Amino acid sequence: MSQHHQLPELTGQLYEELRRCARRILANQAEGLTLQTTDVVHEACLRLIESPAQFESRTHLYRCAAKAMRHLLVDHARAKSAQKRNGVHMRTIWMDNLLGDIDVNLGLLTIDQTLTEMAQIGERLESIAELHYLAGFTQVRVAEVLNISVATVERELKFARAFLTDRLQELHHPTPA
Amino acid sequence: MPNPKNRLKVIKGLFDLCADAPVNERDTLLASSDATPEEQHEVKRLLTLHNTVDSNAQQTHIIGQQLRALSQSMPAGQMLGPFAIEEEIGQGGMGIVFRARRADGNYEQHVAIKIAPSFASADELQHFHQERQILARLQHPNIATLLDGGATDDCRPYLVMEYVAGKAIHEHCLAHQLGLKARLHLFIEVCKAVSYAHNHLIIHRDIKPENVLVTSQEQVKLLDFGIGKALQGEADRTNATALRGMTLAYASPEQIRGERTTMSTDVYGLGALLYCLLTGHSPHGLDNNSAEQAVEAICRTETTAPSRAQVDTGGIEDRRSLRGDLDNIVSKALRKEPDRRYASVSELQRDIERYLNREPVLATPPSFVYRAGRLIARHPAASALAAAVVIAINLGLAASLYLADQLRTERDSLLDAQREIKRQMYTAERTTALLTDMFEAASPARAQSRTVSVDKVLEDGARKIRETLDNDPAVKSQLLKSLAQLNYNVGKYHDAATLQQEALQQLETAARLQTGLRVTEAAHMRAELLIGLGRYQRESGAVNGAAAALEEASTLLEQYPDKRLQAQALHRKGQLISRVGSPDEAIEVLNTAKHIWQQMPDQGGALGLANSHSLSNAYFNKPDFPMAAETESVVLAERIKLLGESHPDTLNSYRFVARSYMRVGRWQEARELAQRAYQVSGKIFSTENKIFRHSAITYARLLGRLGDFQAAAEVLNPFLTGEVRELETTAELYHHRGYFNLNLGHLAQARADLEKAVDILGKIYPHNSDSTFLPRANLGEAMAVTGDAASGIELINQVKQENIVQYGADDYGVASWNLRLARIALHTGKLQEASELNQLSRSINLKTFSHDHPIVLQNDETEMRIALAQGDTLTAIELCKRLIETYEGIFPRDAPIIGRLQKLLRNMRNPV
Repeated sequence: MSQHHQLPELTGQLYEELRRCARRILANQAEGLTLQTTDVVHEACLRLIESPAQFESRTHLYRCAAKAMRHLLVDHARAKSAQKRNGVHMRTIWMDNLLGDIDVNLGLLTIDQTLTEMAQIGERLESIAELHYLAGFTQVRVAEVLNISVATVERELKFARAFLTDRLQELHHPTPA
Repeated sequence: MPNPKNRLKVIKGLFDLCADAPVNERDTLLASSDATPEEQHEVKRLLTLHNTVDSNAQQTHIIGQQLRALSQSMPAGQMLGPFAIEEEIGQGGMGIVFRARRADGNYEQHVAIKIAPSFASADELQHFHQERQILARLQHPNIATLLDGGATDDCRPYLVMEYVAGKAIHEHCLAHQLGLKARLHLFIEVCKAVSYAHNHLIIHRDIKPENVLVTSQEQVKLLDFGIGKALQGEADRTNATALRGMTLAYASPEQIRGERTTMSTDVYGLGALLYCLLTGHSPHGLDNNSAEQAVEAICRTETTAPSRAQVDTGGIEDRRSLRGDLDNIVSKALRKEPDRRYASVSELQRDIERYLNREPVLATPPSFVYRAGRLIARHPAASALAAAVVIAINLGLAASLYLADQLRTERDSLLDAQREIKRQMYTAERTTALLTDMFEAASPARAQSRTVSVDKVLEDGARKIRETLDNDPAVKSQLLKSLAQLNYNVGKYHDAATLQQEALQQLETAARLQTGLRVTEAAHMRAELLIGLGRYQRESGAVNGAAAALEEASTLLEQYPDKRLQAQALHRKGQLISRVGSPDEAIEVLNTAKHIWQQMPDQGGALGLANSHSLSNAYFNKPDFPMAAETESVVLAERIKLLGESHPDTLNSYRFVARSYMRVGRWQEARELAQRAYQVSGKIFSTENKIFRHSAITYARLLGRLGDFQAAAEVLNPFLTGEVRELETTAELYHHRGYFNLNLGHLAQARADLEKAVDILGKIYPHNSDSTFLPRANLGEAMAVTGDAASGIELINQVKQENIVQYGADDYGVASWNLRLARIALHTGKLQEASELNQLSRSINLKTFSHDHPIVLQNDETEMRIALAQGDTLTAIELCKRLIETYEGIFPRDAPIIGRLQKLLRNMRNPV
């Protein structure tokens, strides 16, 4: 991952934006770790390089970046949980995982699924959730990007939060059928 | 079946409606909606989540974790330095581990590469490189070697380690169906490796079965030594996030609490590993529990004893075989409080070895020692007593365990055994009660005055024992013995001997009354008491009594042999001969004892080391300084490992090695060791303490030898202000200060000091003991230079004759007395006689010392002064120049004697 390809001009914009997304997401983490995120983002860009030929607007750029991040993470989680099914995983409990007492890979796949469910309710809800969780934007910034009121973002996120949490809890403590 | 898309929209709409409404109106809103009962139920569930939890936590955590994991992954074929990544073999908070292959074409080598999760700042990278260098020092067959390290392009530190193809130790045990003994032997290998690292001051911090592999050649390999510390950034090391990467099931309470980790943390880790090897699972059975349950279990819940732990595949099937000793060992290693665990990994290891040898283990019920420790912590006033009591307790309990063990193996008579155990338990209880009472009495809260005298505590203890327990002489004997030990430990040798004699009487009474004591047992108990008595009497100066006691013990042990006791008896006998007889004889006896100790699995532990210490002392007296230095260096190294740096015995060894180094010309090393022993003991002990006194004397003598008599005398002054309590060391202190004063030209003060020294020594030694030679000769010299030439010379000649009788005419002592006679002759103007005596002294000295040894240089200096007195300034100047050169070659540059000689040389060249 150390080799850097020359990126086309426009994707350069996306590249920069993805880096910022990653930094924002990690800045919210309890451990307060700073990560060199360049390479992750680079990977995401290479993946998206063919998709949008041109960004219509800043909003379009941000939404693409959030989606790119989502795909990137989901792919990684899929690969990992496949590995686990093949028995290549550590049986011991790691302290990190215990913070949420959760399987990170399955958790991420659940988040992805739940975001897709939200899309059935409305594209706006999905975009708000994606921008908040996968681009790391605050509610105020999400409102600016989508050109809607902060109150609306707050209201939609209330539901998104509860809905995601509910699905994640279901994953770990399934309610009896 | 309704359209799922609609269903979700209904739920969302209802949720929004209710979330905006006051809580008490929500039920009504739900009931009046068009939603199905299932939809209503789901909305209710979402509302509860919305109200209660910080529900963002989980999803942001998961997304962050995934991003982090992604940023750390490396594709196969990726190069790191000369290594090509092959595949990921492990992942955790401490980073990812890859298997890699050296790909520079030189040779085929597989390695494991561990990459830190976060990228590092310049400071952190420097810390990482430092740690890496420390870790690289670990070269041990049972520790996976650190091969290389570096930083990735994005500044993440990584370590390259030997790749070990093997099974985790618990899986190895399971696969090979290993029995208890085989498992314990593997465990001992692990302990040895950890001990090795601890001696290099490296702590593992994450010992768990997955980090201990066994190769197909049955070799144990420890992985990840100190890796956590090396790969962690500064911030991580100073707060609770240091836990990241720990496997919770094997984490210690202090790690969970975010407290400092020490070597004791590894003792806990090893305890947890042992637990897993015995039972097949971790101490708290945490494999499926939640974080809160785990933290609760590790920090608060007492661990279930291995013998009662749930049965799991992989453990020892016959759980009953773990009862007792192994339960105790595991429990002592897994204590929640680090200072209640084994003091070191080697102690844990030794207990396992003892168990395998069917010897009594030291893991004892914690209640009393713990309680005592707590009292000491609260009342430092009692701390002088602390060491003494703890030692006594350990000895007492070890003895009872020893008997209990014998009973276990000889259970031919069940009734006998039961009675004996009851008696032992009773004794232990009484001892505990008594010592606890003594501690309580010593607490300032109870006492009238602020400080409590140790003497008073011991006297009260003696009175209490003497007044009570007349109907149980065996118990009374044990208690008197413990108290005697306490008195000895605080330097009250006479009282110790008296109490020990009373203990012997009580034992006789017990044997007469047939209180369930068997003959062999009674004989061993008696022998042990006699050996102790021999030691106490020797120290109190009653050498004849000591010899008689040790003789009786030896006779008894010939009839009822016991290796340990025989070795002890020989050791004490050797010490006694060192004091009153010939060094060669002492060396022979002590070597016999050493031979017996070496046949034991622990080489006798502290007792074996004490024996070697005495042996070194005997070599020193012979004199064979290289052997003395060599023997004691081994003892010093072992003691630092076994007892720590500031243990009294370790300090003693420092002093002894320093003393021997002085004699073989290793001055710089000698000065460092002596100063260290003196300073450390000064922090721990009062000026009344024998160890502090001896350390001071050794240090002062070294300063004196380097020519700094003023500093030397000043080191000794504080010890000679109060009343005289410790006769022998007080005499020594007066003696050495007198010698320093003599050299400083404070002649009257010198004579007064030396008279006091000789006076005291006359009370404790036979008149011809070699311990009195040097003080008497020095007194003779002081007398001669303060106007009593004839009496002074007579005294020195007397010493010289006694010395020739005991050690022969070639002994370096004789040279020393001749030198003193030469100096007196010089002082009184008999220059020819002075020159002859000095020549004679030098030729005898050269039989023991090399020509550049300071003792021989004293002869050179005397020769120079004689030449000066003869008016032959040119010769004197030549001699002085040579002397300065020689001193500069052997002493540190700043040795005052060099400065003094240079000044003398200037004066001779330019007389005023």
